[in-house]
Amino acid sequence: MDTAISLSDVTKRFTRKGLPAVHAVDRVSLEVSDHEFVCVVGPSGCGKSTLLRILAGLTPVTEGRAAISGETVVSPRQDVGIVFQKPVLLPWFTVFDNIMLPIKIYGLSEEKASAAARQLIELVTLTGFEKSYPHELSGGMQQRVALARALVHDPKMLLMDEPFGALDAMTRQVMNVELMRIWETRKKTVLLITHDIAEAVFLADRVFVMSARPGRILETLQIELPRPRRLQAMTDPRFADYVQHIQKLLGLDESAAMLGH
Amino acid sequence: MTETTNRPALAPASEEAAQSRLPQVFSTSGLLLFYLVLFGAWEVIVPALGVKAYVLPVPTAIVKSLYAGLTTGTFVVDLGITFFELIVGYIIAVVTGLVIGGLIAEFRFFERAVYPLVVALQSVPKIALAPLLLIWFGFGLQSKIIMAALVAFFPMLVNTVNGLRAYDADMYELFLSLKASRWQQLRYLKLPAAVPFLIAGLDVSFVLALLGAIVGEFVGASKGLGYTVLQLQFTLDTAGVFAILVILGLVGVAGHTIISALGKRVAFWQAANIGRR
Ligand SMILES: Nc1ncnc2c1ncn2[C@@H]1O[C@H](COP(=O)(O)OP(=O)(O)OP(=O)(O)O)[C@@H](O)[C@H]1O
Ligand SMILES: [Mg+2]
Repeated sequence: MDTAISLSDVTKRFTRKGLPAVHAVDRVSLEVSDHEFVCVVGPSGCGKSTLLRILAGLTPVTEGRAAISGETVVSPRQDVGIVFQKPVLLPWFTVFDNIMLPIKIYGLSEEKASAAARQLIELVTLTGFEKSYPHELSGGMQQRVALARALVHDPKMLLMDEPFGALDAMTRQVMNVELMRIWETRKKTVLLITHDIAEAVFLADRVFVMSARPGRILETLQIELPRPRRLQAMTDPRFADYVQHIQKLLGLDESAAMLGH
Repeated sequence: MTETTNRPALAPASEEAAQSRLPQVFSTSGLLLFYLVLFGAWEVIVPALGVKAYVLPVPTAIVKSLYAGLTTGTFVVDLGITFFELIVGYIIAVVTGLVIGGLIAEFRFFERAVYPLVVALQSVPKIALAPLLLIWFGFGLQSKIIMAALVAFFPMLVNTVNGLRAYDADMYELFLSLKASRWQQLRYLKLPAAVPFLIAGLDVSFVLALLGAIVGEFVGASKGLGYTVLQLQFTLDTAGVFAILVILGLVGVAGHTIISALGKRVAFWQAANIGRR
């Protein structure tokens, strides 16, 4: 298996005139193989989004090296699809045109891609909504459009930043199962950021647990739950063990007790 | 599961519109009655108080004067002239406002070199330039067209600049992540996001262009509604003055109505969102 993503000693400091530098990410190293599904969990503000933006080529590292398929990341790459925390759909475009946006921008053949777009619409179960506008969709549906958009040009890799964070718990589970299904059929490399530990364990082959700022990798967990996974996987006793283990790593068990949970 | 995904297309917009109609009190017949009472009172009370017709004419006198002016054609010719000045000046203002606004929004050079200059010029009361325009461009239509364009230009420019910068930061990041060219950013993101601003600019500029044309005619002209208003004033034909004010009001309202209808069509996503809130 080849290395899809590699971070070696990546450090990120944000500096602004007159302000103390924010040390967001501290010497993070990790490797992700092709077709692997990995999740990054960590407390709020620990630099998860920063890591993703570095991989997306939207912000440079301060020190270290970020590489995709062996090439140092210097700018956004066409073989990477991104799903942001918000759907970020263009309100003046229909669902179909929103999904086709990367094709238009990359100047790829729209004729060829429209078949792919229709398949994706089916895959994210939005058939019948091609001509709808974003404001006519629910939050979950909008995020599925964003997912289809990220996949339309068939990138090798998906970077997802809390893609379902804004959704209610129930819709979120549905989306996670759908994401699993899509990943199983399409076999992409996926890096998904979340602060929901159960979500990370449910989805990932491996979970990277990050510390509070400055973000470091505390531990990498191999999740040995069988695939294909469906919601029943959450009832597996090992599932609870993984979740508890990560909670302990993040010091959540004590604070949860203090909050009376 | 909370949502069934194969729902039919959503309810047509007209249904939503029907719900947001004005309450029953403000129905068409109610409004009609209101104005009937208002003008009826005016008609009766004003002369009863001994107010002279050359100070405040009664509504029927205004209507009569309006009718006469329109049927004999004098107002029609004036309207045609003023409307021509208005439209040509407006188009000049809109086009230059769009182009210069676009340059200022898109290129730092223009922002730094041109924008301060334009803002400085803006603070000169442009109405005061009317006599100067008369000297430069004569008593013909030209000076009025330029006056209209001058007055209408700035709101169009400001709305263009602000509109082209009103795009959503997250959407911009999306475009960056797709390595969109500046032209693609403009076409798919910045221009559509600017549409509500452009519509607002078109709307404000229209009324101002009308103002500019009339002021231009006040200062020195031999035809047009502004000129005729002055003539009627000299002869103390106040009903005639009011009749022309009615025409000017109608032109303004018509322009506003057309532009906002256009805006609702073009910026449909905005209207839909507001309807939801
Ligand atoms: N553009 C920026 N300029 C300055 N500081 C920044 C910038 N972006 C992020 N930071 C800082 O870096 C730190 C990490 O931010 P980041 O968004 O990566 O956190 P996160 O782990 O994604 O948090 P959350 O779970 O709340 O989304 C934060 O302290 C934040 O204030
Ligand atoms: Mg984040």
